[in-house]
Amino acid sequence: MDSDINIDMSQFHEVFFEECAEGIEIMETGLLNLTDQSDSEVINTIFRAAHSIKGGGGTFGFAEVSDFTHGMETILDEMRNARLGVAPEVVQLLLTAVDCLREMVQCCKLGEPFNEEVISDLKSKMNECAQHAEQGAPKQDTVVSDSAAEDTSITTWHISFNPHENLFFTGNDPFRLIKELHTLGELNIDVNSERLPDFSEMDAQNCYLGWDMELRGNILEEQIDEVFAWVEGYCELEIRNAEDRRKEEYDRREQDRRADEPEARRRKGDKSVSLSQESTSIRVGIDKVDGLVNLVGELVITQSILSQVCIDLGLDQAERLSDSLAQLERNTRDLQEQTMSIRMLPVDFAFQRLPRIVHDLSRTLGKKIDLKFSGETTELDKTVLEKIGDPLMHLVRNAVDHGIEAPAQRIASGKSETGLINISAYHQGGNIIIEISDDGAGLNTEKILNKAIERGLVDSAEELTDAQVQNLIFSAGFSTAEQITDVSGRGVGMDVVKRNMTDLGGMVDVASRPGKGSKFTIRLPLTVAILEGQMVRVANQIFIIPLLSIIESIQISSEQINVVAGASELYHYRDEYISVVRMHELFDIQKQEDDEIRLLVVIDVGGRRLGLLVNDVVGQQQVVIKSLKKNFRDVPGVAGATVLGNGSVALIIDPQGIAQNYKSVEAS
Amino acid sequence: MVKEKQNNQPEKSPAKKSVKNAIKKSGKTSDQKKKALKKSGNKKTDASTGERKYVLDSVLVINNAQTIHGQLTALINAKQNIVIDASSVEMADTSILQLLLSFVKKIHTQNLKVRWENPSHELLSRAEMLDLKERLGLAGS
Repeated sequence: MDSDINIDMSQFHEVFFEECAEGIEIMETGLLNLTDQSDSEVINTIFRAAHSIKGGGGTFGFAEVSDFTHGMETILDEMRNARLGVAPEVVQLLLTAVDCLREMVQCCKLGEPFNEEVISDLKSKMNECAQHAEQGAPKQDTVVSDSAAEDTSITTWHISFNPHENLFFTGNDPFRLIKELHTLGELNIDVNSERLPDFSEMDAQNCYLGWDMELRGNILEEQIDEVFAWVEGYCELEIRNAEDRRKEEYDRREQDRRADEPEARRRKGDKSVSLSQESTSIRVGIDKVDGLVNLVGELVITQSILSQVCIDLGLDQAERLSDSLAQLERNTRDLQEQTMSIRMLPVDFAFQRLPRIVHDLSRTLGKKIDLKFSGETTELDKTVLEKIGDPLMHLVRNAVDHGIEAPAQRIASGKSETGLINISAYHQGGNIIIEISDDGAGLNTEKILNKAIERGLVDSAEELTDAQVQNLIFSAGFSTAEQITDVSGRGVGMDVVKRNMTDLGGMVDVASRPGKGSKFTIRLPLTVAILEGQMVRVANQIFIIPLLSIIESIQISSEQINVVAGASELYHYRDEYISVVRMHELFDIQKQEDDEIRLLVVIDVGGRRLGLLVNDVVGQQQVVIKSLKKNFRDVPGVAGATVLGNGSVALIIDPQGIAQNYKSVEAS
Repeated sequence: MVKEKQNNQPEKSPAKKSVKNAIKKSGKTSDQKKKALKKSGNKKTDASTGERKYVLDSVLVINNAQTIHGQLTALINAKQNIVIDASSVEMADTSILQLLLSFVKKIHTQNLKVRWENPSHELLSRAEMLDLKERLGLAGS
């Protein structure tokens, strides 16, 4: 064969970066939970994550990442062997190293240079720390447990490693694994080339060799497991110690006796079950899932059109056809729900960074704070999930910085010196609600109002309710912090929170009581691919308004609309005047003379209310959002389009865009 | 990558150059050029020793496995004793060592010999770690 088939390693990079991100999260979470009372499994978990990143870094050509993680791994190894205690300064060093590692992975991803100075500094600190442990320097917090003392006995491990043929395609090389086993102890190795085919028949990119090994030393089974962690699913692996071998005969007899019981294979110490059988999930590119979601969306639309055609032709009277269509509709909806669920992830993913933030900030500010979660398993769309990470971080930073008081102040107020931040998530209707509450000082409405007047955000003569004043914190450039700090006080955080939420079709609200604390409530749609919409008619056009932003629809007469300054139109809605947007004018639609406009759909756009004047409310429908930008171009005030049951296209209103558009019209 | 050449012959032989020139003139594609170069290399025989000499490149990884397999197949078909110059090997992954193992076995089944010339320390150490040193015939090196 003359063809030169190159394996493009870059195709695996994205997977590596994803696995790094997961590993880094595991390390960070583990380190935050790590105390000298922690179970050894906590250290093992952190170690395994570091080890995987190190292995991947080496495999995929990111030697610096691999080298840096090796330093972390060394410290963790010393910790789990009880040669180094779990001291707060060591944990802090590892947390800092985790931050640095995250940056390094990001640099690899973007092809940017590393911050060599920081890396070098951390590496020397980690070296120093590890050397300190190796020298056996007496440390106050060094704990040598009984179990650790027991582990000093020499163990002989028998390892049978038979890679699957596709092992090389994963970027793994058995040489690296065996080299690593060499570092653990004395290794005797015997290659097995029985599977190696005749030269003329072999595929040069397949792996045919296997190895039987005997590893001797003070080695834990976990250490061997970790060496092979990177090839899990790509090999047959058997690890047995001498003790197991002595029991082998007995076990075999037992196994014969229970030949019909599959559990027999799962006895302790027997890892002969193929690792590949343990995999319960697959990693699929998001583009493939999006493609599937899109196709199912098309299917829903086609099914809807078919039902409509059936009604139009009067065929719905034919029972069998009607039943079949109903069945098709049920199946299509189920298929859509199942497909959408592929994109759903637990909200916990967005919560993972928060304990670290609270940990670091509370240290910096000298506060004591407990962070509690509930409903972490509540699921929402991946896209939404990715976009709420930063807003959540801002809210929690603010709760730590502005909400929770210093311990002395809390005690003086009759509270416990440790503050509490509670984050909960739950489903409500087609939405997810995330609440971030604290038992801190609450919002100072007087201070907020004064600042808002000073900044010209409100008029001093204006009378605002407490809730309205509290919502001013979401205004751009608003900050009551006395000085700008690294923690908060730049006045951009809450503005960003609000904008991100409205961009996702959601909203954020705040409720606060002085001295008792504050509660931020985020309401978001579960997905950005489908939408619960209200169909409205404007002349001969149908528009979809997101149901989430509608407060109510009211019947009005033209006399109830007041013209202000000869331009803007206002409607007296309950206790306030709201701007009226004539939809047919906004979208330049010819108004039918005999068609009286009589319905006002009141919508909420980030706390601001607007009335959309339409002809009629047609009905509610779950619609599949099609990007207008992708198929046409961005249109202000339009979030996308959808195909209705009758095959016509309806535009989906973007309340935020309309509000902004209307504001600019008002200004001009 | 593997380069093939006769004993005591420089890498860029006049024969190769002339092939290159011929390809240049004929306007062949790069794949055709590669094939033409490989074919010309495989045809060479050292009349004085009766051995075919192979020079292993410094970095031998799976990306090159298919190419090397193709070139070694040509050597097997030539049915001659082989001498492998492994002096410049700095890195050889398992896929290549496995390929060489299969090659050595095949040559032996033809009652022919494979001789290693100056195998590098790196190659020896890697082969030993994978328990392939003896099987590759590197034990005495």
